[in-house]
Amino acid sequence: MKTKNDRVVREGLPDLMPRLWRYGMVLTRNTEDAAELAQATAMRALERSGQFQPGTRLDRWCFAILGSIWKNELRSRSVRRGEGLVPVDEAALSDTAPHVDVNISAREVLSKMMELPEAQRETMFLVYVEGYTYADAAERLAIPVGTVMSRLANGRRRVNEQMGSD
Amino acid sequence: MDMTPLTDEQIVAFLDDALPAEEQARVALAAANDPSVAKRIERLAVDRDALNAGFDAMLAVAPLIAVPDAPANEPGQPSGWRHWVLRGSAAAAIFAVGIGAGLFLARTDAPDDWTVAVADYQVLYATETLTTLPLPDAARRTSLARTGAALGLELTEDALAVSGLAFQRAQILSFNNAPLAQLAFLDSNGTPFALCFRRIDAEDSAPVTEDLAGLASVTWHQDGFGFILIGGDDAQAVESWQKQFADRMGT
Repeated sequence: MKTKNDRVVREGLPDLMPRLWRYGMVLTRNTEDAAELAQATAMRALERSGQFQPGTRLDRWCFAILGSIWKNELRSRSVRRGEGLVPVDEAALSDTAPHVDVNISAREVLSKMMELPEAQRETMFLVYVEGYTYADAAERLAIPVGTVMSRLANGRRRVNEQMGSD
Repeated sequence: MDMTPLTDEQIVAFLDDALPAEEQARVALAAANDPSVAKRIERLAVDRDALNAGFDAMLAVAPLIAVPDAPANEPGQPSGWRHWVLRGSAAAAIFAVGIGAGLFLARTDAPDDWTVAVADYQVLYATETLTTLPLPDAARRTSLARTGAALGLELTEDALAVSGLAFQRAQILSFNNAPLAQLAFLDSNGTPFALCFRRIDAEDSAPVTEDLAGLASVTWHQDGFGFILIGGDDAQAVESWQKQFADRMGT
């Protein structure tokens, strides 16, 4: 079973890497840390491929691994470093990402969401971007469904309070 | 018909189509008939299409990250992220794309969860919260000593004597199963303030001024503690008091 699972996980990972990186960005807000987290997740997923149930969702299984690595290993290191992203002006952006066309309201709401405290940010990401139900999000985050709903309410409120305030 | 007041969480579930049909209909009715409900919906509504467009675009700028060649349980190879180093072209790709990812982030810091929790609680405070049952001097001192002891910090009223703020009482709250100290003050106008702190595994950091839950606040890390001074709407006053507290803590 190990070799079959290994193949299933190995074949599924490349398509998942951008989403793992994106989840990593939501948690770390730092490009290098997100990449490191994505790679660590891929490595751990391969190590544990024997535990994966073929036919179940590989993405959700990998997200759980990523969340665990962040919480138990990388997070305290990041807090100690006190890292943050340096904002970049738009002139620099047009050369490197010419095909990425993001309108102003998309950019603004994304930006405000990324400024939320981690708990609200992560919960909103899982439910509104990755499509987790409240119950799935509660399981993934090991919190009650009521707390998921509070975080979503607080996150939404805060995003609205912050919109248009730069 | 259920007449219990609607919570924000129910409104969010309504917006997310996550309510059972009966409740969904009930909220829809309330929204149509009650302007205060409509107002609450407005405060909670977020453009999910815009949000998803933004996050979709993030995938477009995701760096090329190599899937590891082999699981790290081969002999002689250490496992775990600590030993993984990004090399060569992967690192270069990430650097270049980092600029694209910077497109999405306007600020460098998000507030810590605990400071948001403190703010959400502090916003409930009024003058009367602290004046209705004022503590006699001895009890006030005891509350301070015990709160300090719970956090492993020796606190005296002298250390807290900052011009313009009158110390009222200390209490021990809890966050993530660890003690959180709250020292409550009133300024000369009766505006409530709080100096809260908890043990934190982080290096000292410069004070950050921000609006939390509509209150002026300054947060900082010092000597293994995270601090927040919060209250009112005068950021300059809070910054000035913060400097004085930080100086006193440092001696």
